[in-house]
This record gives sequence, C-alpha cells and structure tokens, in this order.
Amino acid sequence: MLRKLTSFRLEKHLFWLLMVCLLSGLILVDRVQASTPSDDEVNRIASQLFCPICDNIPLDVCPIEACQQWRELIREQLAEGWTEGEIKAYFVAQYGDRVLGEPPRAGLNWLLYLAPPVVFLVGFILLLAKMKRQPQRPDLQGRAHKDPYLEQVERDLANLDQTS
Amino acid sequence: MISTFGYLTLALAFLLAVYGLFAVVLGLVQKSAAWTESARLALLLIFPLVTVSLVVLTMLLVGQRFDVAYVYSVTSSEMPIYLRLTAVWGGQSGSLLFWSWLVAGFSLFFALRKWRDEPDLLPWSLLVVFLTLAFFLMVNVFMETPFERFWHMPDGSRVLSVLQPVGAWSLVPQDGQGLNPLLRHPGMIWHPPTLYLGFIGFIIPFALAVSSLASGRRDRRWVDIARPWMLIAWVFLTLGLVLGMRWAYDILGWGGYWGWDPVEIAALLPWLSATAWIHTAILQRRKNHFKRWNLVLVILTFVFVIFGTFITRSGVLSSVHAFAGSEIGLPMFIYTAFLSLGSLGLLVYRWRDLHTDYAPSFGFTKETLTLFSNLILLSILMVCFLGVIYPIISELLTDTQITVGPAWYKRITGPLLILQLFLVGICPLAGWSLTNLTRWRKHLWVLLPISLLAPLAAWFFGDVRGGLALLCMWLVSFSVGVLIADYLQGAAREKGSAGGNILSALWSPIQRNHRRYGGMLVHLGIVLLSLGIIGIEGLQQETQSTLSLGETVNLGGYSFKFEGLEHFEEADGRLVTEALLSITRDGKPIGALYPQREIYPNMGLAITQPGLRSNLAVDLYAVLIDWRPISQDEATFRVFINPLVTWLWVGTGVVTLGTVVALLPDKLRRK
Repeated sequence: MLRKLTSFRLEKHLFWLLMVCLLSGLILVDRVQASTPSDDEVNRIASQLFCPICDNIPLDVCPIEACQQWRELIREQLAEGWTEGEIKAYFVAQYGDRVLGEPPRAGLNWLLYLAPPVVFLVGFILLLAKMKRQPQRPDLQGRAHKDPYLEQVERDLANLDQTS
Repeated sequence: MISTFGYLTLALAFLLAVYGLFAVVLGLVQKSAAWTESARLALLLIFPLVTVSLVVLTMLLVGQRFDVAYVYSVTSSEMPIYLRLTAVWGGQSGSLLFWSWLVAGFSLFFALRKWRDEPDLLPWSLLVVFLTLAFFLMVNVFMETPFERFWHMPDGSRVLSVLQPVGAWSLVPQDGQGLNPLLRHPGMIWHPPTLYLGFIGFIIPFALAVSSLASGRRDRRWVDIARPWMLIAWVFLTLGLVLGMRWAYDILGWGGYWGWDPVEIAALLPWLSATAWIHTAILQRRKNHFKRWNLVLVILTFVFVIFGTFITRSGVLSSVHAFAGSEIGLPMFIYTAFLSLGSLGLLVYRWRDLHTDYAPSFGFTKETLTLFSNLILLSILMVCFLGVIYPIISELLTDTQITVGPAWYKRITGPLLILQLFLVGICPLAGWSLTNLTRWRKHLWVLLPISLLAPLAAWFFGDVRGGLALLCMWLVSFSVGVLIADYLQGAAREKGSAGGNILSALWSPIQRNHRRYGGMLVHLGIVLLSLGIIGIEGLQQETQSTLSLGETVNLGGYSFKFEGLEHFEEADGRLVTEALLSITRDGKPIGALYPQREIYPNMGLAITQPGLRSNLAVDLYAVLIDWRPISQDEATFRVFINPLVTWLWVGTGVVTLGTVVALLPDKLRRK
C-alpha cells in the first residue's frame, strides 16, 4: 500500500517536473526564436549599406560570399541587441564612409544636401524676378513685335543720317 | 584575311574623315563652296565603308573566328546566333565600331538633306560631324580595333596584331570566352542600339547649333531644322532608358528597375536637357525668344552625351556597367573637353548678339509653365550630375571615398518629380494667353471630384495609406482626366465640320494640329509611366523567408507556397536551378512563379532570373536566394509585390506613339 502510495507520489512529482521542464523549454525556445532576427530585419539595415568590395551594389542584394557573411554579421549584431546606428557605425569604422548608401551629413558632404535646394530656390527667384520686370508681353501691349536687330540697324541709320 | 579587309575599310573611312576635316576647314578659310561640297561627298562615302567593316565584324562573330581577339573575348561556340550577332556591341571595340557606324549613318542622312536655303549652316555642321567621326574612327583604328588576331611568334611568344608579323603563324583558340552572362538576355538586342541611336542623334542638333553660332545667325532656322532630329533622338533615348530598366528588372533581381547607378544617371542627363529643349524650342519657334537658352540646352545635351560615353568607357567611375573600361580615357577626356569648351566658348563669343529685350509675362500661361518646368528639369539634372561627380570631388578634396546611393537621389529628386507631374497635369488648362482658364472652369467642377475616385479606390480597395502615394495617384488621375477632356473638347469642335462622324471628329484634332496632340499624347504617356514609378517607390512590399517544402510565405494578401526545386543543364552549358512557387489569393490558385539561379561553370559566374507574373494592377516577383544543395527541401526566397509597374512599359509605348504623331509631316494639316 505504502509502495503504491510512494509510487503514485513519485509519478505525480515526476509529472509536475516534466511539465515545468517542458514549459521552461518552450519559453526558452520562444525566447531564442524571438532573439533571432528575421531576414527582413537584416535586409532593412543591409539595404542602407553598400557592399565594401563591389561597386554600387547594396549589401542586401549583393550575391557574393563575403556579403552573405556580412549579412549574417548584421543578424548576430541584431541578436546581441545592437541598434541600427551602432551597426552602421561598426561598418563605417571597418570600411569607411563608402559603405553608407546616403553620405553622412558632415563636412564637404553638406554640399550634397544644401546645393540642390539652394540652386532650385535661386533659379525660382531669378525666374520670378525676370518675369516681373516686364509684366506685359510687347505684343499684348498692342505693339507689333520688333526684331531688336532691325531696331539696331534703324538706330544706326538714324545716327548715320544725323552725323552726315 | 577577311578581318584585314574589315580593318582596311575602317582605316580608309578614317582617312576620308581626316580628308573631310581638312576640306571643310579649307572651304571655310577660302570661302570655297567647292571644298565644302568635296567634304560633303567624302561624308557620303564614309557610311558605306564603315558598313562594310561592321558587316565583316558580324561575319567574324557569326562564323566563330576565335583567332580574332574580339570574337574570342565576347563569343563562345555554345552561344545562340542572336547573341553572337548582338556581341557586335558586347565589348569595347565592337561597340565603338557600332557607335562610329551610327554616327556615319546619321551624318549621311544629314548630308543628303537639301541645303539650298541655308548653305551657310552646312560647312560648320560638317566640321562638327567630321570632328566626331574622325575621333571615333581614330580610336577604332589605332586604339580599340576589333580586328586584331592572335599570332604565335617564332620565339614562342604570342602577340596581337591586325597584320601577320614576319615569321608568325595564326593562333586559333578552340573556343571563346563568351559574353558576360548579364548581357545574355533579349534586352541585349534592343537596349544598346536604341540608347546609342538616342545618344548619337543629338549630334545633329548640336552641329546645327554650333553652325548657327559660328555663322553669326540670329534667327531660329537651326531650331526648325533640329526639331525632328531632336525628337527622334529623344524618343530613342527614352526607349533605350526604359528597355534598360526592363532588362535590369528581369535579370538583376533586386526587385526594381532603376538602381541610380552612375552610368544609368549618365544616360538620363542628356534626356533631361533634351526634354527641356523640346519645350523651350516651342517658345523660340512661336516668339523667337530664348535664343541663348536653347543653345545652352542643346550644347549641354551633347556635352552630356560625350560625358556619359567618357565615364562609361574610360573606367573613371566604377559601376555595374563598367565592364567596358579601357585605356581610351585620356583621348576621350581631351575630345570631351575640346567640344564642350569650344561650343561654350562660341556661345560666350556670340552672347551679346543673341540678346532680346523680352521678358516673359507671369501668369497662368503655357509660357510660364514651360519655364517652371525647365527650372525643375534643370534642377533634377543638376542633382543627378552632382550625384555622379561628387564621389570624385570627395576623393580629390578630402581623400574620402563616398557612395551616393538611391536613398539620396530619391530624397532630393522626389519632390521635384512630384512638382513636374503636377505641371504636366495642369499644362492643358493653360493657354498661350491668360484667357484659357475660363474655358475650363465648368469642366473642372466635374474633373476634380472624378479624379478623387482613384486615390479613394486605392484607399478602400488597395489598402494604400501613404499620403504621398495617394497624392501622386490623384495627380495622375487628374492629369489623365484633363488630357482626355482637352482632346474631347478638340474633337467636339471638329464634330460639326466632320459631318457628325465620330471617328472623323476624333481624328480631326490630330490632323489639324499633330504637333500639339502628339505632345499631349507624350504627356499622357509620361503620366501613365509615372504610375509605374509610384508603384515601386510608394507601394512596393517585400519579404524574405526560408521555406521548407510545402511551406508558404504570405505578403499583401497573396500566399506563395514552395513546391519544389529542379536542376537542369541548358544547351549552352548553363546549370540552372529552378524553384516552383505556387500562388494563391483568398485560397484560390492564381498561378505560379519560377525563379531561377543560373551558373556559368566556364566563367565561374552566377546570375539570378526572377520569377515574374504581371498584370496591369500588380507584378508578383520572386528571387531564389539560396537552397539546401543535398536534400533540397529548404530554400530562401525574396518575394516582392510591385503594384502598377506594367504602366511603366505601357506609358513608354504611348510616349513613342505621341512622338511619332508629333513628327508627322506638316502636309497633313493642309489636306
């Protein structure tokens, strides 16, 4: 009877022990899965970086072996909790600014960010200024359009008449 | 022997180009029409000679004459005949010969036109054409000749030479290296020739502009003559660019068609300035103003053509297109600098003579819109040029290597492109006078609410939430509505004169003013084409996943199920791995995708062939990234949903049709 009872208790304990192990295992697996970044998460960062070996090929689409390893490195760094900025900074420190798809806003690079809007605005203002200078077209003012070359010839002829 | 014959005809063409150059200079110095005519006749002879040379090269390629170094480098025995033919432009020296042939062809047609009314434009135009021909033929004859053969010397060494060295015997390799796998695509048939036709076509407007400047003309005659040449070159360049996009979309496997690669941008630069010219040339033709501006634009266009050729072939910028890098960088640089500085110097010299006392009026007129459109196009051009040359500037000044990637280009050009789309949309509302808008007032009350249906439909049925994408979709639907309404108004006006016949009434506006309606058709094409851009830039979805056999990945309402992998060998020796992805939507099967990875064992290269399924609404696009080589029960895919991309190709067709309509002869109007 006692043996039966002990055996039952042991089975009961074993059952609970097993359940605890299973649950903790499940939680652990879940955690491990959650900490393995997906391909999309890796590509999101890799697409902002350029292959340090090939020219003008983003890291997320570069097919070479080295790039596959770099993508795996990004996965590991993400798994370790690195931020996007830290990963980019790591690649810049290793291979220089050329790995960044968008040049950093610093030093001479400001030219890239400031020149386009400045040129567009200056062009816009110049165009407006040029247009306002003469609000009405000559032909709308009821005057026949005159060729400036002919006007110059007529002026020269008039001067010639006066001098002679 | 036949290769020597090809070389000799090429050398003869070069000598004729040099003779033509001297003859035309003598004609100008001595003011002798006889010398000019002699130069013109020399020009007529160059095309047949270069044609013979090109035919010889084609025969060598098709006949697999691997003793010829060029044939050895770009073909191999397993390549199909169409690829052997396209190998004419598959390498540096062959593509330069093809380039020279096209220059000679354009020059032939140009020289054959009737010059009776403007004999003063002929000699200077010939000078520009001969300079270009002589330069490229010189490169072909002395630096990059496709007719060199392999020779075995008595001392055991191997040399490359066109003519047989003393004591040497011919060395014939068993097989060639073959064309770069990326170039083994039907796109190779159409993309390079159309692009080259576009590039080279600009030489004629450039020659006319230079001759107009040099001969001291102030009229718009050069613009009249240049217009059809410019339109032909522009439409070929448009086709060349879009065919290149299609090629990249089909073979490079990044899910898009435009990677903002420096060489892609180099081809876009002349397109932008030529587009600006086509618009301001209308202003010069109508009002005889913007003389200086049109000259600036046409010079810029040709300078950018040469700049693009220079950076592609000199290897100054490395990119995915830089397979054609060689030693011709310095001569190309000198030629580019000479033409650019010479033409710009001439413009500066004549600057004061071209002055007009005219300032455009500010208002809602076509003139104002054209000028603002020019400002936007030139701003985009400046951005693109800056992006291409900035890495060189950075390396020179700060010793720092920089990549200017798509993110920067998209950030800077995005707002400008939206503004440009807006201008295209409202353009038909404006007239040449300020009174046009009143005609539109009642139509706008109908058009505005109707045009809102497209973004609303995208919101409710397409689940589109991006504000910019919705704005662009509204701009597209509004523009299409305005263009169609404008055309129908024209047709309605014609209905009375057409006796109530609807078909005649629909054709009549085009018949009466094919330039205007051709232009509007081009605008319609551009608007439709922009739908494809909105689709990729604003609505694209993608995911990458490793799937076991039978597993699915879901994206945008579609399910992609991995059904299996297959390996096979093609007749040309390619080892192909093909995956099967079946697609379902809401549980219903709608088709399958077959992404491939091709390996060229001889060259040690692999390329990606995406699986693609297109319709007008969406492209389903899958790339096979990797797989388990032994069990093959697991593979990694990158799947894209690219909405509206087909409209890019449809829009290009409409642009081409519109250009053809705009080019119809003026006689049509008088009928």
